[in-house]
Amino acid sequence: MKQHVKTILLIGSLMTLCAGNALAQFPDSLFLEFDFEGFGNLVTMSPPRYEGEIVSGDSRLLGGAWWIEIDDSGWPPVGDPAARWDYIFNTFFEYNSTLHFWTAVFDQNTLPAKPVWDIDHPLNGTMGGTLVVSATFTDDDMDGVFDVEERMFGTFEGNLMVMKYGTGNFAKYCGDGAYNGAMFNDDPANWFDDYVMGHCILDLVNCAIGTEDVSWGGIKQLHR
Amino acid sequence: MFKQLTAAGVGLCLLLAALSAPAGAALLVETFALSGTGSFMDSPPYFSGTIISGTLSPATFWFRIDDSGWPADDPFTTPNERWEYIFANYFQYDPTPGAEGWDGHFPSSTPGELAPEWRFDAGSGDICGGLTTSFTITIPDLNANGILEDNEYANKVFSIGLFCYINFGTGEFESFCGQGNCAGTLDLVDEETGLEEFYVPSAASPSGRLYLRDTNCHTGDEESSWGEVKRIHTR
Repeated sequence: MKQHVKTILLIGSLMTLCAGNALAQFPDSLFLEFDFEGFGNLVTMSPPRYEGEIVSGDSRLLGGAWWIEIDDSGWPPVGDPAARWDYIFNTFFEYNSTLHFWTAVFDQNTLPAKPVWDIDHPLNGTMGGTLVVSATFTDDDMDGVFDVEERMFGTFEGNLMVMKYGTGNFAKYCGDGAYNGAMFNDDPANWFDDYVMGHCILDLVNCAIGTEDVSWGGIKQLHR
Repeated sequence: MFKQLTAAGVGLCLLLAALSAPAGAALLVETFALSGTGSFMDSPPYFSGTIISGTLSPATFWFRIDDSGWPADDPFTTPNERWEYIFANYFQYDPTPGAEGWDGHFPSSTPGELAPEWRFDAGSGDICGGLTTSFTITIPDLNANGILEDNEYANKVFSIGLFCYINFGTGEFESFCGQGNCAGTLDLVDEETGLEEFYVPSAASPSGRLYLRDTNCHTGDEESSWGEVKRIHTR
């Protein structure tokens, strides 16, 4: 009997210790940085999806997978890539005729819904949310025509919101973040996938604590 | 899969070629991390500081936002008129459940507004700079009530697209143009003055990038060949 009690106490102590360690690893405020790589295609995928891996940075995310998707409601089908590309270019790309570059913005103002993202880490869980995507391409020959070779390199950046609906160790967090990177395409004329690489930061807080704020905020709003 | 591998190969080759290129070669990839301060209460809003790491370090930087038409704050009244104007004209609320927040774009979509300007100054007359292609600040609505509260304003994020313009380049950068970007945090450090801490990570791993070239740059009427000629003659 005495031996059983000792065993139970030992297991209990270990469980407490493990829980303590887990909490210590994931504090209420978390600032994460990581580098990512991946592939995607605006033209041949519906909805357009970019996905890949987290290749370096914070160990709590390293080895995880990521993806983003863009709402393509109303875009021409992928079966007619030329028409689809023309639509994307005419709808989202804006030309700066002074400095000779194009900027495309994908957000809640240019799309029916804001683009969405997700990170899935095999041990620590998932998180996701919405994001803004801005991309820039240079008009190298300054002719106002987006030539195929000018589509081979571009840069992108944006901000993201982290939703409160994560899982695992990320379940309690919400917050925001930002990212920047570059994209390469070997053969845009034949609609090859874009290769993308970049850096991302996530500024997270414990939203379980924020639940109280939600209630008070709701009450305040009702009273106004 | 073949397409992906090919694209990745080309991308990496371009990067490796750029990274291993000597100064003065056709393509440069510069890296940077930034640490500084600034305030929307200043006229014009000016964020400046030090390039703390990367190939451009040691150097200084600044970003300046055009505030034509913005009101000043009357210190004897509340709320802050200047911030109220900025918030109303540049920020839009996104009510997506669970991801509520405000995105602010500078310039706004109002025709005629100027893009923010920027400079990186490496000293000894080596300056590159230009305009931003995007300048986006996001504020989370943590309690999802649609009302901006002090604790939400205190911690923001931003991303900036950079376009490097030959007109602003001097010294080592006088013939270079190109593009780049960075992302970071904007945290309120002084409620009285509206002073914000402007940070692009990090000292250990600089995340900002500039992709510069010294061909096909222009100064409006002039072509970059003039920049190259000037550079050769000043060596």
